[in-house]
Amino acid sequence: MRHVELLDVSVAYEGEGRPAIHDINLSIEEGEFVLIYGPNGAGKTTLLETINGLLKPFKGRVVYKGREVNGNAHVLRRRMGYVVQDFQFDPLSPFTVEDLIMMGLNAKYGPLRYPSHRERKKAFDIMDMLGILDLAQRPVGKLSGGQQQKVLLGYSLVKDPELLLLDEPLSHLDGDARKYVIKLMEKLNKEGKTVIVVSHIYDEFSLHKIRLVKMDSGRIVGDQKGV
Amino acid sequence: MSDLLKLAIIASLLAGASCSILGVFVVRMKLTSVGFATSHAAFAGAAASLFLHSNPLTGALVASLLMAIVLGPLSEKAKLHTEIILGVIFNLSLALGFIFLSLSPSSAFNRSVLSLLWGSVLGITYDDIVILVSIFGIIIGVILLFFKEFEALLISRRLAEAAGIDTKPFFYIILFMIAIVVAVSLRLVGGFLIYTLLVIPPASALQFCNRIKSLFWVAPIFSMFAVLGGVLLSFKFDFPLGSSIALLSGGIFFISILLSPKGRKYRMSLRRCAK
Repeated sequence: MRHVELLDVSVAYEGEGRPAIHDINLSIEEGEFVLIYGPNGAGKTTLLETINGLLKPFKGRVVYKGREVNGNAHVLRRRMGYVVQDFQFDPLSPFTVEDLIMMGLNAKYGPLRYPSHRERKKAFDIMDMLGILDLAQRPVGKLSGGQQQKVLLGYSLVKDPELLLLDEPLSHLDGDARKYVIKLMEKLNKEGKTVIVVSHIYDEFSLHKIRLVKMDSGRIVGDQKGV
Repeated sequence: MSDLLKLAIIASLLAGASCSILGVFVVRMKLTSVGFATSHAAFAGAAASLFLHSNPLTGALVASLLMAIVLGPLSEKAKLHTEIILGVIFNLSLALGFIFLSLSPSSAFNRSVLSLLWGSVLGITYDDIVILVSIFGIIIGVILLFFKEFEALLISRRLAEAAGIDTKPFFYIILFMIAIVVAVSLRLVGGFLIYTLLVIPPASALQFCNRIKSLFWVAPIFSMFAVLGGVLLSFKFDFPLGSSIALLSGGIFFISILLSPKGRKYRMSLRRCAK
């Protein structure tokens, strides 16, 4: 079944003459593992944020499991997990690791609805799985870049999303942590989740199992599977 | 202590608590000009009401709510940061306010409009206290009802949106609550003190709190300290009440920075990095 489909999509940022991505046609099947790579400014982040509806195309359509993303973005985003690239937390941030992870979980529910006790317990299991359980009560702003990256991963995984959009999730991570996160992504993909990851580090992935999409100057210039 | 003074203290405490609770949003979401611009929009509204021979409080409320309504869409339409739009609204409000003042025939009218800017805390009645208590109750109720959405907004509007929370309606609720509190408190404590109570206690609380929840009770405590201390200071040295409260709030802020465990650790890590 088709999970995400971009049909002739062009997106431009306000005040910029040139579109950041143009005439993109991309179809991603359910359960696929897609790695997007390319030089800086190729349009990789724009592509991810167009898929989850944070950016609206001025041309073309984005379809998520048969539903238009435009007009349903908030509801559909509750089914997606998104790791934002290089998010900066200031050192005075008045929230802990637990607060941020729970925010990811709470987002799954609309106003006046709350997650069950069991789901809240699962949030702690995810922190444990990512090795950040002992940091649960620590303010996020005080953590290292690598620890913050894991917290953001937890925030996106906690709602058990169907689709994972990960923007440079390996940056700030050391060798062992990188291997662990790659294994985790592959495990989640095996469990049936569709994974779309933007990464400039791609030689550590099991390339023969995944689809590689190359972008340059806002266009898809390469698309191959099982390299 | 006279009844009038008791009422003045209770009103200042209530306005301080409401303002500092909403100030948590103002400080965390970097909307510091919102209080300033809203109080001047209310001033322009009150001046327009007097010119049209109607109730100044109604005019103040309408103008500040109107500002809350146009602020969000205007900054989105103009693709400008909210602070810039607030700067424009502030100047326009002030200009309109003075134009209406110049058109008003009586100097008594002018005095009553100007008291909106500077407040008249000793002219407070029991009805004013009832209004302030009601507004305080409404603010607490709304925040408790949508706490998870407001908490997400305070953590990061971008991360909240990315997770699937539609932050826009909650952002507008915050602007509305600020507009109502400012319009109602304006006549009692004045625009000057509102701005102080909206910004300084939450900024001080931010130095100590590691949780959003704790900001919502530490900020009002700081505000109440400043209000009570300000009253004592005003009594002892015959200073104006608003200025005394503002002075003490500022003192609490600077002491908070000096004692802040967050700031200390941050400064230490910067020093380590420099070495």
